[in-house]
Amino acid sequence: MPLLDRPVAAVAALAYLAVVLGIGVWAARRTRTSRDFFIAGQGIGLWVTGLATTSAAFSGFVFLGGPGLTYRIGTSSFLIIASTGFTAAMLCWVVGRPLREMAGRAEVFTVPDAVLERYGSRAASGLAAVAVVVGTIGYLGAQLLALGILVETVFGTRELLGPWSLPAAMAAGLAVVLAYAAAGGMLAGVWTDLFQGALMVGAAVAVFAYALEAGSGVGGIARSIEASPAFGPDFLDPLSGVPPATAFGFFFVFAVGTLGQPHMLHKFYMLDDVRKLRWLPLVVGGSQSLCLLIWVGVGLAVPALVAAGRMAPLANPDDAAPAFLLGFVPAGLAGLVFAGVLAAIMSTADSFVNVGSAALVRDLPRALGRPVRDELRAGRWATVGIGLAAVLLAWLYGDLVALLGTFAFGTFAAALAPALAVGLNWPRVTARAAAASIATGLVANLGLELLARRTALPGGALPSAVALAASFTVLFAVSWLGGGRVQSRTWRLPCTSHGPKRGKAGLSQNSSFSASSPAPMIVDSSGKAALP
Amino acid sequence: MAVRRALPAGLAAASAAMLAALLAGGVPAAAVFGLLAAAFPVGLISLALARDGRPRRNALHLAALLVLLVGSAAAMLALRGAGAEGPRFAELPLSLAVLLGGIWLVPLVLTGLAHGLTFDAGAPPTTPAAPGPGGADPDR
Repeated sequence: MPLLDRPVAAVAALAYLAVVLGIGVWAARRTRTSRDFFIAGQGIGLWVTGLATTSAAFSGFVFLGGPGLTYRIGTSSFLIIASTGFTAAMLCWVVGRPLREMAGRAEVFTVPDAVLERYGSRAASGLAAVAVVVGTIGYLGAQLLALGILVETVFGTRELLGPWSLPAAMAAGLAVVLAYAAAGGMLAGVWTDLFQGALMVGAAVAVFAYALEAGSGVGGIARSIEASPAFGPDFLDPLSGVPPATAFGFFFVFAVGTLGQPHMLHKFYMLDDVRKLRWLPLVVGGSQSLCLLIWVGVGLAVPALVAAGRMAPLANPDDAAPAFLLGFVPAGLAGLVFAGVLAAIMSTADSFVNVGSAALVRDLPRALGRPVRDELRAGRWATVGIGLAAVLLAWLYGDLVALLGTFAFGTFAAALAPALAVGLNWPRVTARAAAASIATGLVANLGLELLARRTALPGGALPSAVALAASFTVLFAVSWLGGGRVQSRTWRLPCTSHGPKRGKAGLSQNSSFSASSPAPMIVDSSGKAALP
Repeated sequence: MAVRRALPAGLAAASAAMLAALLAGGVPAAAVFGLLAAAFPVGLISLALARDGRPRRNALHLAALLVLLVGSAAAMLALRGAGAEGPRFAELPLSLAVLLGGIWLVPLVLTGLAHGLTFDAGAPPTTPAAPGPGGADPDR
């Protein structure tokens, strides 16, 4: 039964949409410059940054794809999310602080900007921009696939439109995302993220409680699953649902790969004071862990309910969360939860269209030496193009939301994590090594993903894990053996409590730019132009 | 300084070993990969703290995190295939409980508090930057 047949649920979901659109309109009126559009004016505090990071990171992948993947492969899927325990602190220690410090004194809006600033290499920055665009299309595709499934559930279009239902639903969802992303940019994204993040936390906790109740508690769920021939004890063994190399590959990619996720790193540029990083790991890690209760709860409850004969086996594992919400959660709460899931999808999709558009209209043209004059206008057109490409990819991919999301996450991880995580902390990494590492990660991840769709890799190795390990290996090898200029000086970055900051956001006055101003200069520590 | 020099070498060796293990296939190689993958994030955090010139400040926290992550991975490997008759904790199979507690919940509290309590806003880190105008990189 579609959600629209339940008026209370439909009203709750529509009320949510109205609030999000209202925030988008409000934010659009405050968006005047490229700085507002891409990094929200660099005036965002601890709680907003924390919840926005959670909201941007967690998405249809977590709320729909997660339970679906658990239904298919068991608790091996939990190795994707367990690293949440330490990734928030790792992010702050390894990349958050250096990136925020860098953004405080130079024109750093995006990950390719940071690569350019660190290595002074247009080749490395351009490759990073390509990786961002490829990963963005993949990740946005996963969000739109999840959004399509959600729209099908809400409007019951599967019976009406047959095979055209999913693409039509994805297109409708894309229109809503573009409506406020193209209008409001990252400022809209950040403020809607705050609202959405809070809603997601509440929704996840409530669904977790209902999942435990429906499955008769943790013990009841475990016993039902273990007694079922369809699932069995291996379902609850983290290293038995898939080959151990796949399971540990999930852990490696989603733990270390977090350091290369532009939609999360982007938030560090927005923080208005580096001292707010202090408790950010607790805010981000805590809110993310609460949100992940929906993956754990629904992911375990649905197989238990199927095993107990209280729910029909799922033809499509991605239907696990919608089926549970429609069947086992009160209508009003179901409506709010659907809105929360919609929130997760839209906030992440919104972050990605902005991150991807920044790569397309700022980073790639600059790497090619042909900066775009009106970045604000071009950015809005780029969001539309990226969205359409993502819909096409999601339609053609034809697999679970979580698997498409894993590919996209892996693209960012393999291409960007080594050059950032090691390069920001070890001066010996050369520009040549960074470029080689980014190229290796990008090509290996794409190539192995295509190969793995034809034949399994040795021992069930995850393509993204192989690409990430290869990218790190190449980075170190080229740094030591590949020649190129070794970093000969270090750049002592001032904190907010030390040294002068240039302008409100730590930028030189001539480097703050608007849509109509020429491209800003990148300056080194002495204020001299480091790049033309 | 010795720590600062040893960490990149250790991370490089671990990266190469993980790549080799993944390409080799088989459960023993996967076990090696899993243990190295569990230790790798701690190595990256240590490298970052070494950049700040304070690698020992979080030494205890990082050692505890290393033990938790590598120990949990080892425990999951040891408990693999234990089945419904295997050891349990809080009504869950022990391997699943180890995953949820040892990799997720305990590190969440440990690293969150460690980061907050040892955070030093006044310590100016030295972040590598692009070479200045006097020395262009070959591929610029």
